[in-house]
Amino acid sequence: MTGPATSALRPWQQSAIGDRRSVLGALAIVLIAAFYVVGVPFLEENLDATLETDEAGRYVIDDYATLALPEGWSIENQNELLTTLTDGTYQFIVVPTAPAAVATAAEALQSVYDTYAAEPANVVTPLESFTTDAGADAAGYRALVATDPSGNGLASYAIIQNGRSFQPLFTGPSDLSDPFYDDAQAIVMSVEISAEPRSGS
Amino acid sequence: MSVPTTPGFFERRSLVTWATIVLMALGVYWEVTTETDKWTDTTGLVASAVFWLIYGVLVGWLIYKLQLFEHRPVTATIVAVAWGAFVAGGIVSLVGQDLQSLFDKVLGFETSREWGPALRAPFIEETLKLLGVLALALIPRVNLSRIADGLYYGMLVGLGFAISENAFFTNEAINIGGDTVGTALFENLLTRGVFALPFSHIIYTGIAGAGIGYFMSRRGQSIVGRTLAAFGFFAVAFLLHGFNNSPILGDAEFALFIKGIPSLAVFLLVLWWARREYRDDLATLAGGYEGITEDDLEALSTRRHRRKAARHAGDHRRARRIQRAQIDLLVAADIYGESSDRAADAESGLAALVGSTAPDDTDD
Repeated sequence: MTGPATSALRPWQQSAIGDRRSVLGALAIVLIAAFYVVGVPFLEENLDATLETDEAGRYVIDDYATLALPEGWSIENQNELLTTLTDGTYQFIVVPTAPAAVATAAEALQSVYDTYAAEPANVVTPLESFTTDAGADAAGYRALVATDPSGNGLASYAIIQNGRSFQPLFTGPSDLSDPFYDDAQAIVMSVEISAEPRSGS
Repeated sequence: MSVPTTPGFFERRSLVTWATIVLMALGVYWEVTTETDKWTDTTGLVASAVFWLIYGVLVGWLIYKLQLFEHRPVTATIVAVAWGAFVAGGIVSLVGQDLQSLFDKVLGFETSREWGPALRAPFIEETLKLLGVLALALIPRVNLSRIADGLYYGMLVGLGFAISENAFFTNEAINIGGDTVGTALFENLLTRGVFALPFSHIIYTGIAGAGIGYFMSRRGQSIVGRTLAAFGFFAVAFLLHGFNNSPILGDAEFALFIKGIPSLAVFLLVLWWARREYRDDLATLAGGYEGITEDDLEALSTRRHRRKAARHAGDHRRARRIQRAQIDLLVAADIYGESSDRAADAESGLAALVGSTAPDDTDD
C-alpha cells in the first residue's frame, strides 16, 4: 500500500471537528446511547405499573387467579415471583397460585400461625376459616409481630379453590382493627381461582 | 496479499471517533462492574469470557478472510467487534433489568412475560448494535460506502455482541444452573455458537448494517428515500430478531430452527445482492484497463472461479499473483479514484506482472 492515507480520501470523506456531519453524527450517537443508559432507568422509575384485567374487569394475578381491588389500590411492582399492590402506604404482596398441598386453607396457614401465636410478645388474632364470594375455602389471621422492625401489622390469608392454593399477605397498621384490614378482607373475598388456565395462556 | 485496505479507524479530527472511544471505555466499565458485582465467585465469568473471546477471534478471522475483494482495515474490524461486545453489551448489561421492568409496566406482566423477549431484545440490542455501524459510517477513514461494507461491519458488531451475550448465558449456566464449567462451555458452544449461528446477532446486524451501507452508497439519490431504505433494513432485522424470540411455534429446538430459516434466507439474499453490486461496479471500472479482460473478470468473480482459472493457467503461482494484482487495481480505483496514486501504483504492479497495460485516461 502506498501514498499518504489522508490525502487519498475523497472529498466527501473529509470531515473534522466543527464539520456539521462530525458534530451532528457524534451528537446523534451519544444521544441514542444516553436514551438507553439514562432514559430507560428514568422511565422505569417514573412510570406506574398497570395490572392486567380480564374481560370482566377483574385484575389478573396469574393464569388462574383474579380479584377485585377497592378504590385507591394500585399495582406497585410485578415480576415473575410476586406482585405488589399498594394503597399508597401499605402493601398487598401476592405470589402466583400453586397446586394445593393441603386439603383446607386453615391447614396451609397453621404452621406459621402456631409459630406467631407461641410467642407471648406477639399480638395474634384467631385463625378463622370462611368462604369467599366465589365459594372458595379461605382462612386468615392478623398479627403484630414483635420482632418486625417496621412496626407494621400483617394479615395473612390462604384461599384454596379448584385444587390450587393462593396465599396473599398484607402489611398494615399496627392497630389490627384499622379499616385497612377491611380492605384486605374485601380483596380476599373477591378472589377467584379457575380450574383451567385462562384462554390464550 | 496486497489487496488495498482503507486507511483505518482513528481519525483525530472526527468527533465521532472520540465519541466511539469514550463510549467503548464506558461500556467496558459498565459491563465489567455490572457483571462482577453480581457474582461472588467470578471463575465462571472469566472462563466464559475467555472461551467466547477465542470463539470470537476464530469467527471474526473467518469473516475477515471471506471478504471477496477489498480487505477492510483490521483496526476498524476490531472496533466493530469491540462496539458490539462493550458498547452494546455493556449498556444491555447495565439497563437490562430496568428495561424488563419497563416493558412489564407498559405491556402488563402477563403479556410482557410472553412477548417481552420478542420486543425488548430487538428494541435495545438491534438499535445499539446498529449504532456501532452508524458510528463507523460517520468516521471518514473507515470508508463505509457500500452495501457490502455495511454488511461486513454489521456482521462484526453482531459478532461482538454475541460474544458478550454468550459469555453472560454461559456464566449463568454455571452460577445459576449449577453446570460445571466444562459442561456449560460445551453445551453453549453447541447451542449458541454452532446451532444458532445461522440465525444469530451476526445475521441480524449484517442485514441492518447493509441498510447503512445502502444509505452511504446512494449519495446521488434523495435523502428521504435512502433514509427510508436504511430504516427498512433495520425494520427487517428487528422483525426477524423479534420473530425468533417470539412464542410463535414454541421454543423447542426444531421450532427454533424453523424460525431461523427466514433470517438466514434474508441474510443470504442481502449477501448475494451486496456482492453482485460490488462485482458489477468493479466490472465497470475494469473496462478502463487493458490488463483486465472479460475472462479475467469472470475468473475474479468468486473464489471458486479464481482457483479454477489458476489451475488451468500454465504457471499457477503467477496466475494467482496476477489475480491479486487485478483485484488490487480495481479496489484501489474504486476506493481512491482511478486517477489516484494508489490506483497508479496498483496499475504499475499489474503491468509489471502481465507486461502490458494501457488504461483509458478516465478521472474520478
